Amino acid sequence: MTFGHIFLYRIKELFRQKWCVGWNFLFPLVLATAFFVGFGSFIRNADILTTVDVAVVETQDDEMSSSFVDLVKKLDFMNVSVVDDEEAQELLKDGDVAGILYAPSFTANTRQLLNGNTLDNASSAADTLQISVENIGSSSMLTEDAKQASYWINDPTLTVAENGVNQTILSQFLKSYIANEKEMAMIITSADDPSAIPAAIQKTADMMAEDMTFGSSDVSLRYTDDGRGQLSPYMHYFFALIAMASLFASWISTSILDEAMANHSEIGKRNECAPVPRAVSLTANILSGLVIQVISVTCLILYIQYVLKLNFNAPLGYVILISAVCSATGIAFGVMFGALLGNHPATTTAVPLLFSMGCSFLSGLMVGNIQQIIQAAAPWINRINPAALLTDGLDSLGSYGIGPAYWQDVLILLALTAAAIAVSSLILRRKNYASL
Amino acid sequence: MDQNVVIRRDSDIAGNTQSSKHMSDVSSAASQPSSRQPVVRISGLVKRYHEKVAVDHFSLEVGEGEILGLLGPNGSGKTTTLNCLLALLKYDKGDIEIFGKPMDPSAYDIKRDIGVVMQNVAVIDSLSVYENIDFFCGLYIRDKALRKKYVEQAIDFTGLSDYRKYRPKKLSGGLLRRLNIACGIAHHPKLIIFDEPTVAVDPQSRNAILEGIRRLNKEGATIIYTSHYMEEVEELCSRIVIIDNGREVAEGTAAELKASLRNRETITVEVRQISEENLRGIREINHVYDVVQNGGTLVIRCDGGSHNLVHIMNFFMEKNIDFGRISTQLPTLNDVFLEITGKELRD
Amino acid sequence: MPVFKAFFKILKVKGAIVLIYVAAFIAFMFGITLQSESAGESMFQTKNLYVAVWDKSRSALSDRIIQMLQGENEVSVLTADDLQKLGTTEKEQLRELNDDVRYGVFDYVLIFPETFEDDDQYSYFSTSDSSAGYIISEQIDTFLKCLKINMAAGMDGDEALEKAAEVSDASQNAEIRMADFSDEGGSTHDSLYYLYRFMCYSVMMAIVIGICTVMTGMKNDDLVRRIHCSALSSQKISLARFSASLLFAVGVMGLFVLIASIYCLGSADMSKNSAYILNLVPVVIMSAAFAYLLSTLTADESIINMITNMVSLAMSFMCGVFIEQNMMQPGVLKAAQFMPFYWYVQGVDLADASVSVTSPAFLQCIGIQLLFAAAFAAAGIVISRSRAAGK
Repeated sequence: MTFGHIFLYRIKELFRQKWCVGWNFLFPLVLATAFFVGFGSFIRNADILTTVDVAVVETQDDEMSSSFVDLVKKLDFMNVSVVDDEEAQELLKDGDVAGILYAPSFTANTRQLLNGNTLDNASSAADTLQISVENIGSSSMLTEDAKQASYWINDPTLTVAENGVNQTILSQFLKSYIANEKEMAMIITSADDPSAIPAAIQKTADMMAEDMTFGSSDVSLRYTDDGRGQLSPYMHYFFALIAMASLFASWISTSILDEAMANHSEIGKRNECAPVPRAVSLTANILSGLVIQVISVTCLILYIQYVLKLNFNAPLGYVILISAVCSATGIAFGVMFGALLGNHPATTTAVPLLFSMGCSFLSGLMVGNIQQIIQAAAPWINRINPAALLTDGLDSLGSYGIGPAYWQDVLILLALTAAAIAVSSLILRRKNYASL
Repeated sequence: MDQNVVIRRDSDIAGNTQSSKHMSDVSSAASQPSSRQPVVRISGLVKRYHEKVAVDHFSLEVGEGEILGLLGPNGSGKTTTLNCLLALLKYDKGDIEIFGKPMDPSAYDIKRDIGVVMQNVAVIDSLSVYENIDFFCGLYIRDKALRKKYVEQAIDFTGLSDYRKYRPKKLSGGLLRRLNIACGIAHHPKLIIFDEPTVAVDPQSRNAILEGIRRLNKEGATIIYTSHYMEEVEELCSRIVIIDNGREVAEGTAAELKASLRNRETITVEVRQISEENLRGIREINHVYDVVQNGGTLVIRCDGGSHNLVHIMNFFMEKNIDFGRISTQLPTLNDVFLEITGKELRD
Repeated sequence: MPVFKAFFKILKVKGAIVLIYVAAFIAFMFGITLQSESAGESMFQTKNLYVAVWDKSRSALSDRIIQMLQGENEVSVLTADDLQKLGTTEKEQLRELNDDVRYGVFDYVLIFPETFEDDDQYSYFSTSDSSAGYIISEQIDTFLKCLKINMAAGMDGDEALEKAAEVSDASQNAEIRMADFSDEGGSTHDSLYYLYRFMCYSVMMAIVIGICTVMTGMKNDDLVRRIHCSALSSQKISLARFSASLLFAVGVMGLFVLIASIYCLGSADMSKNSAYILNLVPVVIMSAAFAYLLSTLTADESIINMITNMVSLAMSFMCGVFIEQNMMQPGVLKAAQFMPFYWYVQGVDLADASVSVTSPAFLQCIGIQLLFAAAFAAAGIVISRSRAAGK
């Protein structure tokens, strides 16, 4: 069978070409490894608390300050350095800490009330207050000012040098602490029955301690079906890489046309002199290119899943299926470019490279959010960009499983493939050439 | 001039296909080994590239078993004609038949019996010698066993047995050309087109190639051969067609074409000194039509006769003219070519 | 001189292809820059987050939380019509909302189940690239916590809600200062910073591919032999080639710098531009040297493209070009120090922080990049010579 003869020889030929092996096999694996080295830990350690480096400065030597420092030190996600202000500023300037927390302290009012005593625990505080209320017996303790936390405590503050995730975590920690502190003060100062205060303070303190945990900075709770587990958003980079690798098939098809068409090369002339219909020859060539491409993309997928141990959160067969369809799209587009541009030098290198990299860039290869920006500004681009369709399909697959969203992406890719083939057929259907 | 040789001047050519056909019938009748239907018939072929007419009402017939030499300067329309013949190029007018059937891109039955050896080497770099021949043979021959046999024959035929596993990049120029030939003839075609197959090839390889072509012809292949090496064409081809500016300008055997020249013999004599009177005397010798003195050498051109050298030497001795070495040269195909197509540089 | 001139004559012929590459990489650079600008600055702000709320409980508690969130965010409470547009089943509706978050329509989708008032359990969708999920969830959790404490203290439902809201509002006024190291450090990044940070990738790709596209035109074996048969020594030939490559590289750099400067005129601190440019120069030299090295190794354009892509993309990911260095693992950053782009990014950060170009830190960055350039050039010369000798 001539078809089989051409098909097998073409596969042999492609496997022996350094650029084919390099581009289609090696390059995606190298890039996947680079991604993994760069941010693979974000994916693997999504449930592990990240550590935020912070400097804590005790503004006064009192229990409020020291208990704050103790609290912060106990938090798993804080890497604390207790320093003076000058050193803290240096650390912040050098970027060694994400921010400086200035510990809360008692106001002069509190110090006066304590009269040199210390607050060992909440009960002692309550006792002290009770004594004070009874002893003072005046309305000063019940003034509106006195009901405010700021009357008794100087709030902790935060100084940061830039916007960032860690700074945001610190700011939220601060706000939560202040909320708890104000809550505590409110409970104490609004209680009608002073005897209930110790229990309230204890409960508040317990609840504060219990709730003072914060999730990972990588908070990415997304909806999933059937308890599938979370798909890390960083996997999107790998999806974009798979899309790029699939679209490298356009390179293969431009080289196929070079050897199949008389107006591209001498080998093309020899092939066209042979008694083989062009449709048979091109189909066999294209299919061989597709096989190579599917093998290379499968290797990449298996590498990501089993060597890098990053989970697609989906049956691999479906991952490979949509990647294979995207590869077919890449091949079809390559044939179309070759048919449109003829033997122009740009066809062999520039156009396939820029096509695959351009589509991949727009699907988030270099920066993950571009697809979202495009979706807001011009969503139709995402619907015709093969790379975006692939990443969307893999995303749906990982998040929702096999469903309409996935199949829709597969169908659009098939439609794009068919359209490219149709355009190519119109151009290539002529039997001979006006010039060679 | 031999009646079988047709030489056309520009003024003769007026797209007169009728006369062309008649003339080529006469010439082909004289030189064609067989009177069967021609293997190739091109009638009134016209191919234009925008304003330029690359092939201008060109007609050609190639009989079975012939080796036809197609000569022409660069840009004369040879390659365009061949591309039209192979149905690679669209043409504006004319008919092309091969094996008695109209040729078109989907005439796969015809293509099966055609072999092409391109001017530029057309082999696949990442396949070995054996694989290249096997691949291209496989486009023509479906039977695996038969193909294998043909491939081995082609390798033997072209002397590539020691290089079957080599890749094209490792082959010398001569070997590469032989591979190019093997890829074009492995499937035992009945019509083979050789487009300058011996370019940049050493004499030994060239000799081997020409020998091979003769063998192919002996085995029954009809051959169309183009080259700029006149001695090859003279040695190999049973009939020669010269094309210029897209038109046929001469046709005949090598002998017939040479005989068509006015200059039948060139005699060169070393003479230190000769008077004008003696020069006039030489011009008056029978069959001498031109005498040119280049420094110490006299170039005498004769338009016929068989004893010109004797007459000239007798004259020299009679007149006591002191002379040195004498040489005589018969016209070559190169002379014919230059005479017909002119000496101006082309391309 | 003839070899030098030949480079530019070939460039003229292949100019269209080279221009396509340069234009494409300029486009990539702007694309990444625009995206990073919009993402980076909003991370610290809690205002104007887009929150969608699906309130199935319709309780006083959920209402109060919605009110609290409305104080600082753009909140859309989904109506029945809205839900119908999303889909006919709850599954479809949830997926659509998830996709809305995925595509940036909302930063946060909050869902109060029917039992919310009883068990305080809510669910949400958010993305990790902004801290919206973290911030909003913490606001809600803090509010709920205060509410629980109030009720434990004996307050009734309404009072507990009110007091919790008061506390929550008050806590939003926490004092957070932005340190001003303006004479020695920058706190925010303008567009010029981002352009120059990503420029190294684009510049390297444009220069290497451009040079190699031209060099492959001079790589024909017979042509090389013809050139080497001339009266020019191989050193002069190599020097001519390298000089031409460098001139081309400087031209490409000029184009990138010009476009970046025009774009940022009026919107960024242009006083830092000269420091950025100075930091870019070693990248340009290094790229030219790398191109020279590649062209001595192979004449195959596809392979050159492949190697260039691999090296520059991998370096960009590992050295903090696409992902901030402060987000990368310490081990990775240590390994990245063996790559030139790491030092380039460091230089960009120093320039952004208005560190003096004569400071040891800045000079170190430039120096190390130049060492890489020298290494590539030396390797190219050695290989070129050994190949010429071998032939």
